[in-house]
Amino acid sequence: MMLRAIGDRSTWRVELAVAVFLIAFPWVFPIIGGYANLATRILILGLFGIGMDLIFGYTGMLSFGQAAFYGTGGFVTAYLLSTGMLHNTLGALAAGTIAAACCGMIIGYLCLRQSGVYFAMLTLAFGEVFYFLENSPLAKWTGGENGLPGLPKPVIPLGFTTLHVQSNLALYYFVAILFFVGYWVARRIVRSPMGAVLRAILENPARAAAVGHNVPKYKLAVFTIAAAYAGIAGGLLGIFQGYMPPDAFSIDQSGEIIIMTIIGGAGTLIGPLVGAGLWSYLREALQNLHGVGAFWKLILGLLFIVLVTLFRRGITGGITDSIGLFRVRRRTAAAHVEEAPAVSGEVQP
Amino acid sequence: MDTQNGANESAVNRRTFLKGSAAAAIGAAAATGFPSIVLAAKSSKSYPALGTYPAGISGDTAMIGIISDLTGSYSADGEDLVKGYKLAIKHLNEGGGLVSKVPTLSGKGVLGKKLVYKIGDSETKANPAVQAATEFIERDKAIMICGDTSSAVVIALEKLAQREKVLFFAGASGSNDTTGKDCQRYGFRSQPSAYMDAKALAPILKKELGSKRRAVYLVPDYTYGTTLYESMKEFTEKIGWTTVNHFLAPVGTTDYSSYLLNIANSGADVFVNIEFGNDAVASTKQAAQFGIFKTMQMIVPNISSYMPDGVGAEIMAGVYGTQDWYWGIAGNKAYPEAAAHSKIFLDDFLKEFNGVYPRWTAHIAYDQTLTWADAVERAGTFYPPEVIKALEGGHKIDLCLGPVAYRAEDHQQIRPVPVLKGKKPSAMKNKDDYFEIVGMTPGHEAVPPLGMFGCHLPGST
Repeated sequence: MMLRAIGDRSTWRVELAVAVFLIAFPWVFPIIGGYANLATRILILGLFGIGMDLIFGYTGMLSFGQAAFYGTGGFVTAYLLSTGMLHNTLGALAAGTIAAACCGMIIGYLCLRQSGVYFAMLTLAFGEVFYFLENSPLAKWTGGENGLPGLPKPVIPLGFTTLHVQSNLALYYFVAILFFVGYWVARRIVRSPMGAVLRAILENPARAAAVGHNVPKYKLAVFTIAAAYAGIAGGLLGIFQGYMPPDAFSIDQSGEIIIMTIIGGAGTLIGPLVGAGLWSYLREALQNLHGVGAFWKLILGLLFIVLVTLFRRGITGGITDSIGLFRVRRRTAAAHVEEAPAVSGEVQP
Repeated sequence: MDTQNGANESAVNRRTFLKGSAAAAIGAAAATGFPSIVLAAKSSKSYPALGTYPAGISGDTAMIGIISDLTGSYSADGEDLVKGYKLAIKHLNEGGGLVSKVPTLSGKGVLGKKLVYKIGDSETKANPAVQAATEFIERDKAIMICGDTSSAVVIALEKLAQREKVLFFAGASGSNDTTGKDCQRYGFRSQPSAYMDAKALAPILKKELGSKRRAVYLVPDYTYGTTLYESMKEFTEKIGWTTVNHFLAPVGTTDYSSYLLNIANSGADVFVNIEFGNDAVASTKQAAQFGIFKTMQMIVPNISSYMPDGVGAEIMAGVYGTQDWYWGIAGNKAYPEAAAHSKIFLDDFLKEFNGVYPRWTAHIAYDQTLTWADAVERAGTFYPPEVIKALEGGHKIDLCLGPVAYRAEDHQQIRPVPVLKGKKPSAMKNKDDYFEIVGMTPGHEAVPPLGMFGCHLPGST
C-alpha cells in the first residue's frame, strides 16, 4: 500500500518525530523569519486539514463545505467564551467541537447519498447556506459580518490549579498539545480496521460494499469525525486571535484548506500541516517582498499549479516516496550480501 | 528607550521648564508655566514596558504596520490609502509637505527615530487583517498600526490594538460603532462617522430636493452599512422624507439585480446607495441598466474614493453625498481654513505619484500619521498612554481640513464634513474633477452628542 511507505515498523517513531517537531518548531521557525503566532496559525490549519485529509485523502470524498464546520465550531466556542457563559476554555472548545460534529452528521447524512461531483456540489451548497445563516439570521449571536471579538485568553482549570495561558509561546504549546492529540487520534483511526475499510472505499467503493462493509455508515462516521476536527480548529482560531472572524465560514476558507491538503500531500495526515505551513509562510513573505504587493495571490496560484504538477502526491507524498525508494535500494543492496529479505510490495514509485 | 534620545528629550524640556518658571516668576502667565512644569516632570520619568514599547524603538527606527486592502472588494480605496501613508512617512523622515507646517515635527523622523513601514493585505476581510496586524506587532514590534477601509475590519483591529496595547489609527471607517459602542482607548478615527455624514447632508438635501421625498436604501450588511442607514433615516425623516424600504446585501455581492428590482418597484423617488468600494460601482452600474436613474435621484452618503471613476461622470452628475476630503478644497477661496494646506498636500501628492490625484482615503492616511507623530513629539515619548493623553488633550493640529482635534471621550475627530454634488461631464475641468463642494459643515455641528452610541473607553494600561 503506497500510503504506508514508512508505515508499520516505525509506528511510534512517526509520532515521536511529530512531537519533536512540534516542540522545536517555534524555536527553529524564526531562522527563516517565522514567529510563534504564525506557527500557531499553521498548527490550527493543520488540525483543520487532518479532518479534510481523513475524508479526502483516505476516503476519497472531496468536500467544498468544510468551512461550515470550522465556522460552527469557532462561533459556538467564541459565543460561549465571549459572553462569559463558560470560563473553561476546554469546555467551550468541547462544546464547539460537538456542535460541529453534530452539524457534520446531519449534513453528511444528507450529502452522502450522492458521490463524486454531486457530493462535492452538495457540500458547496451547504457551505454557502451556513455562511448565509451566520451572516443574516444568526447575526444576533454571531455578530454577522462583524464577527465576535473579545475572547479571553485560555483558562484551563486542572482541579488542583488553574492554568492561564498568556504569552504567545504558551498559546502555541497549548495548540500544539491539542494538535498532537488530534494527530495521534487520526493516526490510530487510519491504522485501525476502520482505516482499512476507508481505504477500501477510496479505491473501490463497490468492492468494499460487496465484501460486506456498510459503506454509507463508514462514510458518515468519517465525515462526522472530519467535522469535529474542523470544529476544534475553528474554536482554537477564535481563542488564539481573541476574535472570531466571519470569514471562517467563507467559501475561500473551504477552498484554502483543500489547496493546503493537496499541496502538502493528501493521505498523509501531516500533509495539510506542511501545506498550511508553506501557504501561510509564503503569504506573509511574498506580501513583504518589494514590488510584489497585491500580486502575492497570483504568485501563490502559480506555485500551486507547479506543485500539483510536479508532486502528484503533494510535498509530503513526494518526500516519503523518495525515502521509500531510497530504502528499497538499500534493502536490495543488502540482499546481495545477506539472504534476501522479503521486500514488501508496498513501496512503489 | 535609548539614552541619546532621552538626553534630547530632557534638554528640550529643561529649556521649556526654565521658560515656564520665568513666566511663572513674572506671575503673569501661570497658565502657560504650569503645563511646562508638568512636561518637565514627565520626561524624567521612565516608563514601564507596555505593548511594543520600548522594544519597538530600541534601535534607530520605529516601525509602522499598515494594513490595507491590496486585494478584495475595497482594493481601489486601499491603494489610495497606502499612497497617503507612504507620502506621510516620507515627509516625516525627510521633511517637506505639511510636516514643515507643524511646529513640533522636524522632518527627521519622530523623536529622532526614522520611520519604517510594512504593508499587509487585509483582502477586505477581518481575519487576514488581524493576522497581518498580529505579525506587525509580534514580529516587527510595530509602535503604531493603522489602516484598512472597512469598518468591520477596523473594529476588529481596534480591539486587537486595545488588547495588545499598541496605538491604532483607523483608515476609512464610517460606522458609528467605531467610535461608539466598539470604541477603544487605543483606537482613533478621523473620518466623519455615519451620523456626521447624515447630519451634514440632510440640510442640503432639504434645500436642493425639498422635504417631500420618498427614499429607498441599498445597504451593505455590516456595521458601516447598518449604522449609516440608521443615521440617514433619522436625519432625512427629520426633514420630512419618508423611508420606503431598505435592502441589505452582503459585502462582495456581484449581482444586485434582485435588490434593484425591488428598488425599482418600490415607488421611491430617491435611491440612497450606501454600498462602498467595488460594490458601490457594481450596484450603481447595474442600477443604471435597470433604468433606476430615469425616475430616481441618487444619494451616496459616503462616496468611495474611486466610485466616480468606476461608474463614470454621467451617472455621478447630480449625485449628492459626502467625502472625508476632496481635492477641490485645495486652493478653494470659499474654505480659507483648509485651502492652503490642502493645496500643499495635493501638489506633493501629484508630484510623488506622477499626476495621480489623491482621494479622501489618502488624506485620512496622511493627516492621521502626521497627527500621531505630532502627539508623540508633544508627549516626548512613544509610551502609548502618554501619546494617548497628548491626543486626548484637545490640542488642535492644522492640516488639510484646518485645525482639528480628537474628542477625548470617544476618539472621534471633530472636523468639518464636506458635502459634494456630482458635476456634469461638460462642467469638469479635468478628468478627476468630479464634484463641486456644496457645503462644509463645521465639526462641532456635525458630531453626535457624547454617549449617543454607547462609547465607554477602556483603560490605557
